[in-house]
Amino acid sequence: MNASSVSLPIRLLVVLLLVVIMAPLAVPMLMAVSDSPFLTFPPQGFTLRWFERVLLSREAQASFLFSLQLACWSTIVALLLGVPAAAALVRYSFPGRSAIIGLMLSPVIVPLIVTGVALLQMFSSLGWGDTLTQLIIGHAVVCLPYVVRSVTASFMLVNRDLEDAAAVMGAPPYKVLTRVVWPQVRPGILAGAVFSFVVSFDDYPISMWLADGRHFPLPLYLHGLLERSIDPSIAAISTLVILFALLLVIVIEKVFGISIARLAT
Amino acid sequence: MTPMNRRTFGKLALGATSFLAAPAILTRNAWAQGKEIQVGIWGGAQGEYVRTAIVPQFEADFGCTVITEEGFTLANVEKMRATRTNPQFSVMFIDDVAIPIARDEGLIAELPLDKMPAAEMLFDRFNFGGYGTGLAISVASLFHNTGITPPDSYGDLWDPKWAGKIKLVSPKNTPSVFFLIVAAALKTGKPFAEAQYEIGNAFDKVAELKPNVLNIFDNGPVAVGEVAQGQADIGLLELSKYVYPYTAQGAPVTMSFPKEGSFAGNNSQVLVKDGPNQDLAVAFMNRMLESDVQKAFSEFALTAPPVGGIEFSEEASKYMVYPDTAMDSAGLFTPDWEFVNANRSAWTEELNGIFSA
Repeated sequence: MNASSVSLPIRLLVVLLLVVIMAPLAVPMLMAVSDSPFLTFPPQGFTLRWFERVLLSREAQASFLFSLQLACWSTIVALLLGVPAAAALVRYSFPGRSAIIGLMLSPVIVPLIVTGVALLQMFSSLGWGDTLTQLIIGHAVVCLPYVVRSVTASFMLVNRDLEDAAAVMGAPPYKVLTRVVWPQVRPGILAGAVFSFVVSFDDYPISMWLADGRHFPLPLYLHGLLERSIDPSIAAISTLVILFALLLVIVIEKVFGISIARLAT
Repeated sequence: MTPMNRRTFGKLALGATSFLAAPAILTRNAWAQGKEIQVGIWGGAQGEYVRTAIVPQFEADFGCTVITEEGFTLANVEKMRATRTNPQFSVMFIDDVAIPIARDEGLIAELPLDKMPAAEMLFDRFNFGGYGTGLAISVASLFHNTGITPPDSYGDLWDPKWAGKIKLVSPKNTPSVFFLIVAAALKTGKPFAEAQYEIGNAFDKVAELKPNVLNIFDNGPVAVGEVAQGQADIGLLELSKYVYPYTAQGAPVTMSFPKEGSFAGNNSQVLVKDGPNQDLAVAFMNRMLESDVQKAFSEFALTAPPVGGIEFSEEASKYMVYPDTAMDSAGLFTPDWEFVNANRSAWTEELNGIFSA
């Protein structure tokens, strides 16, 4: 179907939907440039000083960099556990398979605030005091379902005949894996990594229980700022986070040549 | 040169005083060298001041490490519960409402007040039976946009002229208990001290307010900002520590105090039972009560201190009810939290039923 065949009402509906989806993102972006000492909407005047204040804030920088570090580690752990798990769940039939799938997806079903307090209780009982490790494990637990779901879908779509053909033609297993399987599951793994990164980067409920003053992710910093700050700095940070997410999408599309829109469908 | 603001001055004054006394303090506190405690603090302006001014100075004076973790009362109580078998926290900041709960569950220890010389100046009402001390006292009352004339009585808020103009505090937040006491007082005609025990019969009065309620808020500072912008006329009700920072910076929002009286919001500190390095924890709690710390802390957060003998500037005094005699004159009421805690979940369900219908 080409663009010209889409009727006008459908086009208007799409535009309306896009406006509804995008409007909440536009509000903080507009408030961030307001030249007033308080959060106001519609904005009054124009200034970039709130961005300057945020970008020069050592606390904001530290929280942003820590969130980045945490999201990277959590994503790596979730991929290391999730990709083999997804492959096994798709390719092998074994007792308890359904139970394992349910267990892996449970962090999405159980409220995260409950998962967070349960993790705190577990770490405390074990006497495990390293906050960074606790946070990485906690975030990996909630990221795992996204990796498993996305990679499972990729493995289900893999054409097994191609693998058999390669093997029959004499390709050793590692070549079948790298030349035949990998190109087919790569988009799913990348999608899982992206979702995992975003889920970890945005997480508040798990971090709320496990973080401390030395390990303070950005969402906790934003929440604290919302409680103590009345100027548009928080809108400036929100804008920067939105722009960061956009940058992430552009990098993935341009560098890896993978369409996020296609992955989402 | 950039003019020095109230908050920067407070931090510098606290730092300069401590710097001059540093050599003697370090020798005296050698026992604490290398020790570490974890303290659950609040977020907001109070948390910021504790993290950036009080903790660094305490660490320098005692040669120790204090790890702070920001939270709020219910989360901080839950953290103590979750780590009960192997406590990680040594000191926890919670509101007075939760002290009886934490005490009855064995989460907190009785304070060794003989090792806390700064507690000598503590007003009796803020020692909570020896299981905690006050840290900062706010007033809970109405807040309103300065463009309107606030009502003299809480009862006026039920008038149809306020239809859709009131933001009501969420049942999740402690000030919602104050709202229920107000409703009970209006229905029964009794003072707050007696009306609090008749909340269960006052939900029809609560329901009558519904047409005047624009929406429910659970984030005080955001609600205050919305009233300042004119999205609603009145907020019912919130602690002064969330309102006055806006007022002090010139936002068109302030508090008003209806004739029935107002409420005390008591931010407090407790000693976690069997928490690590209890001696250092007690020293930290003592530091929190010292006069120079309390003066700077109060002026930063615009709250009143729980200890006597502190002189405030005229500007700072505008935002606090201090000392204890002034609190009595202002009719600041502290509910019977043991009774409230025993009934709060049922009241919350009633409130949810009314305002979500």
